[in-house]
Amino acid sequence: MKVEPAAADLLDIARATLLAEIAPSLPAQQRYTALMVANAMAVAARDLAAPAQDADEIARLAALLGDWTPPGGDALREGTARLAARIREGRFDEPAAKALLLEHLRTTTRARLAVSNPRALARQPGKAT
Amino acid sequence: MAIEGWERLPGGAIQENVAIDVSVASGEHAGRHAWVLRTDAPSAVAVSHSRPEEFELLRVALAAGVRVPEPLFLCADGEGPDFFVMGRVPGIAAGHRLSKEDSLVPDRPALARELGENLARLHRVTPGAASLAFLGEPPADPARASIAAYRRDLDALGAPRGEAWPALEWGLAWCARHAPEPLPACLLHRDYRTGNYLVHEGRLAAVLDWEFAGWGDPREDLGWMLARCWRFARPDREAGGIGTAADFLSGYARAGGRETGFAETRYWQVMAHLRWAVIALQQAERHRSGAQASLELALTAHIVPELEQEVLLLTEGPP
Repeated sequence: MKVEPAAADLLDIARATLLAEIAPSLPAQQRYTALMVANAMAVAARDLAAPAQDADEIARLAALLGDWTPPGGDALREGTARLAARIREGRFDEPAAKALLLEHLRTTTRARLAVSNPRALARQPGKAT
Repeated sequence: MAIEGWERLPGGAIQENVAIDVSVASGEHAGRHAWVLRTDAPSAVAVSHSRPEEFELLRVALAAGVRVPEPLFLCADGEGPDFFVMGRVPGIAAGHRLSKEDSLVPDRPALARELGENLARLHRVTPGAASLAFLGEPPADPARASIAAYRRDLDALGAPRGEAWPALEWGLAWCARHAPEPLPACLLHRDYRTGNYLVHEGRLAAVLDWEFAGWGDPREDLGWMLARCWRFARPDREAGGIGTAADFLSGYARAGGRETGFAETRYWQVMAHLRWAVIALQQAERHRSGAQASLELALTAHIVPELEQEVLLLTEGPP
């Protein structure tokens, strides 16, 4: 048994303490640095709490790439690199392929945003200005 | 001459700026002065201009009627790092304040128009001046040249760990497919955005950070200023969180810039998000590679998904 509270919980309480008890008494320049530290701790806590999605993403990559069998080892990295290369070759211009690709890219980007900056998830398609 | 005050200014990841208070006993500059000394930070990046080049850019911009700190003295004698001295302009640059606090910008339409007018004056500078020879030849097709450059950058970034960025590749493929006919090249600032200019008493006081200036398509600077990633607290105000795109673009046209609608800048907003994403990845790589351990650089990587989302939203259809 791990000792509780463990990583995510400790990060949360450490961050709350930094913001409540240390940051307010710092001069402006150091307060800015403390807010960056708090932000890094928040990203790390969300990363720890994020559901495992690699298997889903690998399955979507396999569907998009068609002729690709996920290898052992780092399949996610390899599939992602392969997809990037095919996009660069212009292989997703045809409407059906493009729709499937964009769906994958949106899903993947939302998962990345959920860790890096969940506030930006509120942005909706069709609202780009 | 005596230096009576010396204070390092915050915010220079690439260059260091020091506010100096100087008293000159006699001669042309006799009197007391508030100046800024600018020199390289220990971690300068390769794409940025040298201090002598930046000094020359400031001179050219000033002569074109662009509001900049006055370039005063340059030292490039090889005995230590190059530096130059420029006038210290009062004002506030912080984007989160300028976008939020109306007391700093009482007349937002006026400042947005001023930003447009000022940029139009810069864009009147065209290739040819011998003193700007260090900028090289203007690219024949700036959009396609940028796409090729960003692809090379992504390849270099991905190589060490086999990484790749499909959403950014999608944006680049879209830009390659929809590249517009190039306009005649002019002098671009290439980082003309809120955060890089000073506002004093509600007016544009000076444009800073000229280290990325170069020849290109004028719409690149327009798209950079209007891109969502530089709107800070007010994403509803397209022009850098300051004012509307309409005000910014009308100021631009009024001062001799090309008539451009907001819709036409969409292509260049996509390019702006792609370029910022590449730069953010490069900054993060400096931390990841161990070249420069830095919390700020590490966090920059976490801006990238937001830029990817913006690229996806802007490229759902044709431009």
